Amino acid sequence: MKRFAKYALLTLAVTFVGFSLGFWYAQHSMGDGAAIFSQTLALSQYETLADLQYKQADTAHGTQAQLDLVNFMNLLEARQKIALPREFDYDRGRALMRLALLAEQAGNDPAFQKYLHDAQDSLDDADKKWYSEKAMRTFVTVADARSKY
Amino acid sequence: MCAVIVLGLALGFGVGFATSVVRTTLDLPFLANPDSTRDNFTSVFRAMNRLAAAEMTAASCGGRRGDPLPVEEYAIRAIQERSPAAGLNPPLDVARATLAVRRAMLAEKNGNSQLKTQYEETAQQLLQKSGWKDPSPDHLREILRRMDMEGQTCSAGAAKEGQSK
Repeated sequence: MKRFAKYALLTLAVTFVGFSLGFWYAQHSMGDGAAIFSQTLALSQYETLADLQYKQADTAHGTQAQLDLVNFMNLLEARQKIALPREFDYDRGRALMRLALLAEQAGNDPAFQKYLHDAQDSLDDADKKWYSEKAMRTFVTVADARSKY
Repeated sequence: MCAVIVLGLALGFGVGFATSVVRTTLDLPFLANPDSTRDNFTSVFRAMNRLAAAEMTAASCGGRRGDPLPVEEYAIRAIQERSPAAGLNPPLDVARATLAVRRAMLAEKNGNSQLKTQYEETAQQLLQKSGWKDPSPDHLREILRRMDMEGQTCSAGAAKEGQSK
């Protein structure tokens, strides 16, 4: 009887250890994939709507949409661990540089300088490199030329 | 003794792995109900996931694998309800106009020209409100065609099936 109880207890203990290991392993393999998938999905949809506005609408609506996109990204970063940080910083840098160009179009130089600096900051986070104003302009021009809308 | 340890570990690992997989799957934002959370940002995030998934289905398979348009409508409504409290203001009229144009395309396919015109008028009004330089539904339709072609993720069989219809 004592021997049986010993084995039962041992089985229970190793099953618990196995459960924890299995749970942890799945969490680290599948959980990370799920985070990448869901963040990519939500961000791409938000960006599509904001970028459509940037390309198709007037300056006021375009600016509003890009500002909201940056706000969404900042809130996301504050609440979740960003699964693909480099791509995330690139996307934010592009949105900020678009805001800079919209401010320039509107003749708002202080806003242009601020957004340009923020965009350079975001790309610095991504690449650990400070891009010039000219490089930032090219960055957005190339992205805009590739866009399907 | 060794057999008990190995068997217990294997059994536990399997059950633990399966539990985590089921939990992760149920927690996937596009499957989780946006209304089931009190947190406004999480709700918007989940609804945006749903909208993206439905848009992908509508774009790549033309809605032949179930009708994704009611899902889009539900997601847009969920975002509208929770985004102000989350401090967000996404351009939802563009999403609504996209939905209206997709519905107009469906009505056209079904030969219902009256319904098609109705949806196109809705789309035009929404795009005008959104400040579009060219708010015509044809313009948005052309953009959607280019975007759908780029994001073609439907299987070759389903794509052919769609072309033949």
